[in-house]
Amino acid sequence: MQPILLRNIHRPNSADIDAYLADGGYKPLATALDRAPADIIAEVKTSNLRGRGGAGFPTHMKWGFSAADPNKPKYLLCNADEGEPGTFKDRPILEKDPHLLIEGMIISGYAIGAEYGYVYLRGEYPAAFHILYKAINQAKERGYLGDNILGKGVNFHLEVHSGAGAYICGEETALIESLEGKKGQPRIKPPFPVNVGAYAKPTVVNNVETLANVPRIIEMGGEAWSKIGVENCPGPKIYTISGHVNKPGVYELPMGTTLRELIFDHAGGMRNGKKFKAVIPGGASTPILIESQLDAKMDFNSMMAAGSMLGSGATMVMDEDTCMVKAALILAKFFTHESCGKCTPCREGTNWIEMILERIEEGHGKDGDIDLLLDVCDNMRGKTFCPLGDGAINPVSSAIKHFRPEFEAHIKERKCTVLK
Amino acid sequence: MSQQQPIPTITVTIDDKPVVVPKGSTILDAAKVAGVDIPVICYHEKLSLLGACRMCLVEVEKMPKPVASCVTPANDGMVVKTSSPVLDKARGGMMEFVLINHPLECPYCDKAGQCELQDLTFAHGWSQSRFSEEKRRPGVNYDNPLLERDYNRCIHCKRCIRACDEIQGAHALDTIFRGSHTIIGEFPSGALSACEHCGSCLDVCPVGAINDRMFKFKARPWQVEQTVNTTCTYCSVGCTLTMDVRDNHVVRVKPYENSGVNQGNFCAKGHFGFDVVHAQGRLSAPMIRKFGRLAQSTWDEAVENATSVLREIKDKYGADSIGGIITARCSNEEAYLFQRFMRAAIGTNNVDSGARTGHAVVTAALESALGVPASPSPLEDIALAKTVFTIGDDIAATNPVAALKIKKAAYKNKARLICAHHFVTSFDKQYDPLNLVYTPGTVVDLLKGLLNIILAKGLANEDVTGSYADYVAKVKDSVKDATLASVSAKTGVSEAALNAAAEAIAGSPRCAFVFSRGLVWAGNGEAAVSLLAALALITGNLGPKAGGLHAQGDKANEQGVCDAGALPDRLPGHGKIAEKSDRDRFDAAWRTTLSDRPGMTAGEMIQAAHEGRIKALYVVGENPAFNWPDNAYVREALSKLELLVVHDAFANETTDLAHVVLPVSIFSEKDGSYTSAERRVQRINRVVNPSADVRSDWEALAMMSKKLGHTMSYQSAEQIFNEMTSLMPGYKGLSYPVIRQKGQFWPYQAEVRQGVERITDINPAFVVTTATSAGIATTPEYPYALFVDRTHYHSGTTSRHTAALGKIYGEARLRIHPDDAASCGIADGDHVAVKSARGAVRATAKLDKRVGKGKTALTNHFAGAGAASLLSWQLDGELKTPVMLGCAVAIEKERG
Repeated sequence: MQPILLRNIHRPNSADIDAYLADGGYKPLATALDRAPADIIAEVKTSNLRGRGGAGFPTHMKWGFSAADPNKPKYLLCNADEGEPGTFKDRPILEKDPHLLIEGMIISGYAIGAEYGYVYLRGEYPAAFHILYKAINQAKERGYLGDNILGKGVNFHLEVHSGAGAYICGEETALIESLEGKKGQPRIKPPFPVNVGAYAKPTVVNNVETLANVPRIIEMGGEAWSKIGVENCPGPKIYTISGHVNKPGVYELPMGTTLRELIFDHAGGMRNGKKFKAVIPGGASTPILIESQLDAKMDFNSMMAAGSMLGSGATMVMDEDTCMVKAALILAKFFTHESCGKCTPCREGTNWIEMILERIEEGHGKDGDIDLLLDVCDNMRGKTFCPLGDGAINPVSSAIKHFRPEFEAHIKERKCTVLK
Repeated sequence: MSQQQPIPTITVTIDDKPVVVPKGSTILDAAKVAGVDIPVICYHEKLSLLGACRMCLVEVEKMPKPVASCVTPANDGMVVKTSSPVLDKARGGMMEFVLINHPLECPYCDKAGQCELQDLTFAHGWSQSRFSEEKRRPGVNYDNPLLERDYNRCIHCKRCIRACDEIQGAHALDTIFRGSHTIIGEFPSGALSACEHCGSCLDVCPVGAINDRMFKFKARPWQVEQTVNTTCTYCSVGCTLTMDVRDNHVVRVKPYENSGVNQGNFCAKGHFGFDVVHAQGRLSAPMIRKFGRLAQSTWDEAVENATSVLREIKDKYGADSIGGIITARCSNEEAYLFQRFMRAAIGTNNVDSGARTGHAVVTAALESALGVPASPSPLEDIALAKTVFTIGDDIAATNPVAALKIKKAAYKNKARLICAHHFVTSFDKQYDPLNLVYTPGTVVDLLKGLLNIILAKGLANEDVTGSYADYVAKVKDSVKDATLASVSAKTGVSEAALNAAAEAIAGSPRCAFVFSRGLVWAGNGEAAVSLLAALALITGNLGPKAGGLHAQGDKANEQGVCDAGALPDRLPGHGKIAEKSDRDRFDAAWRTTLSDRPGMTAGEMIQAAHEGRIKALYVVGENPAFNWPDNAYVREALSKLELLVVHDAFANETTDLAHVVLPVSIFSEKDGSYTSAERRVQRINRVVNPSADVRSDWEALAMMSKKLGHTMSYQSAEQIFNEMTSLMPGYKGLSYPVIRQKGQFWPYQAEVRQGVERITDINPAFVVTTATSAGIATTPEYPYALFVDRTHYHSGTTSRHTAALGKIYGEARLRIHPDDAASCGIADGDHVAVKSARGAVRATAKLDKRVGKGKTALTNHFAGAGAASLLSWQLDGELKTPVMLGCAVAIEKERG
């Protein structure tokens, strides 16, 4: 497949507005502003674009809720807090093609009636901050941002806001809290941000990749765009693959590419001729899959059917030499560190899981520890304030599900039997 | 009553039981209606919803996973299960999560026995823990002098943070760190903490993570022998509280459910100032001056001594050579008995109270302005207001719990605050008020200016201008010269701010007007109160659904002592001395013939003593030698007396000059009633027994009276109260047992069996006044203007004896602007000498920008360091109020 989203990134100076314009940039904006906002939403509905942040919520529905809310002003927030371990799909857009995001935001803002937008950028992306900052200024100078865009009476003001390094701020309500200058902790839902979001006003929070798709949908037409990938979940998808493969990196492929194609056709297969052992298909918070599931398609529905989630499409591949207890511990430590501490089960549970895994890994595991781990996971599942808690138990419970003998061996033998 | 719109309802099924609840209820609300108990940790009825503890999970049909019932809105037709195997396990699991890091310190934790976590563990916990790791020990913080913050025991419910933010508005607490490292404490803690020591966090903490350091290790909850409800007597708000008693000692104060005007909230004085009753230095035996020194005596001796001298003086100089002053912190019964004693036993109307510098003026002014000798509005109306206008004081310092209503309005209704004062008030910290900082002494001009703008712009309420056309015309005429430019020039408040304030006040659907003693202290207080009443009236804020006019005071019973007749020209129930029909009722009841000559005010008595016309003063609980301006002058006056009888609980500046000193009980040692500034008549109840030779004021007065031949035989405060309700029209119908359960407002309406909270039946009259206040003139010798300051940590001279409050605010502080301090070479915490033409005191400098340049402020609480001693003696207006505004001073850094 020819790249659609990332088609511009290999041009020299691709982040510069002139390179973007040479690629046909800001033409979709001009087209869009001649159409009615409801028409844009309808076009996106035709495309069946689903949110690329991980939940796969139909974008046009989110927009529709906010557009229908009479409260003003409205806000459009771009979630660029790309913090999910293994995920770096938004980064090429942010650093190499920022105008694609900006154009996407202007069109989206127009569609929902928002005149103010913010890019909430991951704190660890300082380069992207400067690139975006410059790009926003360029867009302002050329009349694509600000008041009366392209002389069409449409206003859109855009700012970039750097986060401070909290994973939880990728959760949309925590992102809003953080943007407002408060501690990044999730809010009660309902009310949902589409009605009561930033500064208690209707707010749409969309992922970078989602917004970047908008100019392409306008350009190609929703109908044509929806023919890419699989039914129910169409479009191009940026997959990122890391771990024990020969060619880790960013791959833009049609939605629904199988894990096997991604790992063995695109990423060049397993490194050093090792055997494949396990894969985390959608970022650290998604359940682990094993060899028998490699033919599963990587789209929202198929991944769900396979017992995992597409998430951000961040595929982490592990070979036969990987200790799954250690892998689970490393992931558990991440979630303990990133748990915001607001709700009881996540604050206490993540920490406890880490402690149990740590002692198993160190050879101090006890009989019953595995069942204890599963029960602690069960006591967290579906009961935490926000999805972070569910994400935290996924790698642990799925690692036990697929590799229980490895855990048992750690406890019985008091050491790792995988690592030579 | 206006017709209310029916509230839409929904039907929800909770555990197979259908219940009808108002739309907008949560599942938890519906469960309460259904009588189903759902366990909660982070939920608290007084606070905003958090939904974080996950203890209140319930299952809802068609929802994929359990939901937190406290935050999930109930929908029509919703079917909810609060108990199931899934939920039982979820709750057990949640308890386990909470407990894994909670220390097993129940055997010595102060909360054990009253701990919500213990109860929940008993109900939902598992008997064994599967946690075998080491528990988290983030430590214990002792930075707060009154509160221990035990991070080890904290279960992160954040109730304390929400209480601090939403009720007190102090924003002193926050979560620190993240995830399992989270601690909840003061941020920053120590010297920079924003804590106002109200104890709200302590009261909502479900576990022993926040502990009262005054109470710690004093008693286990089950060792508390008695828990007695009573009323706080530190200020005129009249907060309801509960005292825990062990071994005849008050060990702590707690909220009494959420009842009373305070709804379970306190200020530092109410929560921690209770220890005054057990303070060092309580007077424990009567004393008589012999050979120039006070010597211990018996009650009989002391009473005999005082009455024989009183009789001699009366015979020699006449009854009007004797005067009586009672504190405004005494009970209604004591004030009533005192004036009866002065009028019937001594035979003079020379009776007045400490309310002379407060409500004696306010009630008189309101009576002439509105026909009601009291604040017409209940305090809770402030909380419903959309705009709040405070004037003359920093209400958060004078009446902190009244300020909580203002803060509630700001938090819940996003009310606009307008604070007019000669300083920037403490509301400035969090609530972004419109500050009208006026030149001291120009408050009358400011009010006239606001009235003029509103009337000139036609912003007055149309109903009012229609119904009270004459009144409005009179006001208009009286303020016509107060043009924007002239008022701005005189008050120093910008024209833009005056316009903005006038528009905000007049444009608001509900504006509450709140003031305290400061409005009276500036001089010309009657005019100021009258103009403020006019402002409230013409903006339509004295009606049924309005912001109201709220007069507060320093002392607890300012309204009550005036109601009870401790005024030189008024009888109990505000009857006039000059009016024969009013006197007749009391002549009959007391079997006497009352003098028809109005007596002297307290200020006039002091002056008359100085001039030798008053020979004896009977002082109950008041401390004029310290509280009144120009201490030196007052002391001279008191020293000239042939007899000075003083009732007090502590030795003070006035007892030092007395001939007879009688040791009396403090509010927690006696029974009686108090009338708060919103007219709420409430009980104080004996919580502990006083020591053997300490009696209540009314017992002492009855002994004296009997000796003087006027027998007042009462067995209890209740009997006095009943006599009062039979003779005072406003109090008619009030019941002593009923006010013990719940205060009652006066006037009482028998038909509906309750008091009138909001007096809307007013009779406005505008009294034109031209008097103006002199303000403060500084000189090169005395370059700074000093004002009598207030702090929410102290009240009068009683609170100087509490150890708890002393830990926070234990010495006189002079607030001074950093620039002025710099030019005097003064740093924060330096000892400074403050000198005026009338005296000098020492204080500790506290740099504070809010006082403004050229202005300083000093409290009047600490022995030898009172601001009042620096003022000069001046009585103001017809009501002869001592002017307490301030004076010009020089400030020097003390060497060494």
